[in-house]
Amino acid sequence: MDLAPPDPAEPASDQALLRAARLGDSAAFAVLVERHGPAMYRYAVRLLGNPQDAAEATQAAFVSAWKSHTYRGEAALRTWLFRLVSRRAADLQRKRRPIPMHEDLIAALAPPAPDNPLQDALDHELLAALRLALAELPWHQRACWLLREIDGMSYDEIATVLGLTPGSVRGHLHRGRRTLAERMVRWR
Amino acid sequence: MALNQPHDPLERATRALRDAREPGWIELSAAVMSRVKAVVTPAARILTSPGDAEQDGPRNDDGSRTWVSARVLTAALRRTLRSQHYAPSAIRLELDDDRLTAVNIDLVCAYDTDLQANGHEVRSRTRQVLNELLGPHQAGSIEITVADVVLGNPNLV
Repeated sequence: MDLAPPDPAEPASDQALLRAARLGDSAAFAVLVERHGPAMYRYAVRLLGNPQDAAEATQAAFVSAWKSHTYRGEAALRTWLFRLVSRRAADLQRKRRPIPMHEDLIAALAPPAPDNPLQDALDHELLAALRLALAELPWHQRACWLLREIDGMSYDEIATVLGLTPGSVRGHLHRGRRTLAERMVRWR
Repeated sequence: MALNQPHDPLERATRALRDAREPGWIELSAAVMSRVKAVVTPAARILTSPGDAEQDGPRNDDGSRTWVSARVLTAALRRTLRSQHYAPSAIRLELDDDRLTAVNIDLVCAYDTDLQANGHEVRSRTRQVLNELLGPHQAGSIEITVADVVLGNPNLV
């Protein structure tokens, strides 16, 4: 293994890890996978509505990142990785027949955390309702909303991830938020 | 219901979604690395040369020779050429008919270090690796380019 055991007090930066990975250091790449993979997978699951497809998109994105030398540092590595998984997810979405999101399937995706006293049955149903509403949004509205509200990306970052202009991102977000607010109003 | 929960249902649900985890990551991360490690990129082979400067490489009684994969050499250089003052960002091997003719190394150096000294040290260490893996009579140049300078240890920053 090339890298010394990671020091929690001084983790290597994305740039340092990618630099080593580009020279064939798979241990360095594994650190990047653990650092960014969970968020990428979470995004893909909620975008595609299917854990198997999300796993495939995430794997394909990382294999592409491992093989690619096109990243030049114009955007943050995280943004570039999300762009890769977004593209793979879009490819899968185009190829596969849409699967309707049933409420019990959505509920199974987010079971109540038994150790969290704050999450009662009402929260669980609220979360399931949001998942269902998200699944019914058009692709770009759902993607923009997830990247903004869950992953905290800026409009410029979202534009880079999805290959849109920042203006388009604003439009998709506005429409998506409005639709979700209308869908969730009965929960007031 | 906790007192600090937002009243707006969308905001509340969004917060819950932000905190929710999607199961399956541990298995997926192992699958990702399996696929990554299974990627095979073509690598040139480099002819080694023996200690007595024979031109055609070491031959045993059957006349066979020994080659080392460029991937093996690059990995050895990658592991060796690291210090708190520098790290390689690119390693390019030039070959002519399976013989190594040049090694070109891009370095990222720490700010406020002696770049010339870094270059000399990298060149010396590179020559050592070439001698160990390919034999003591490897001709060719070792070109060092300082491609970037960073604040701190280049292996971490």
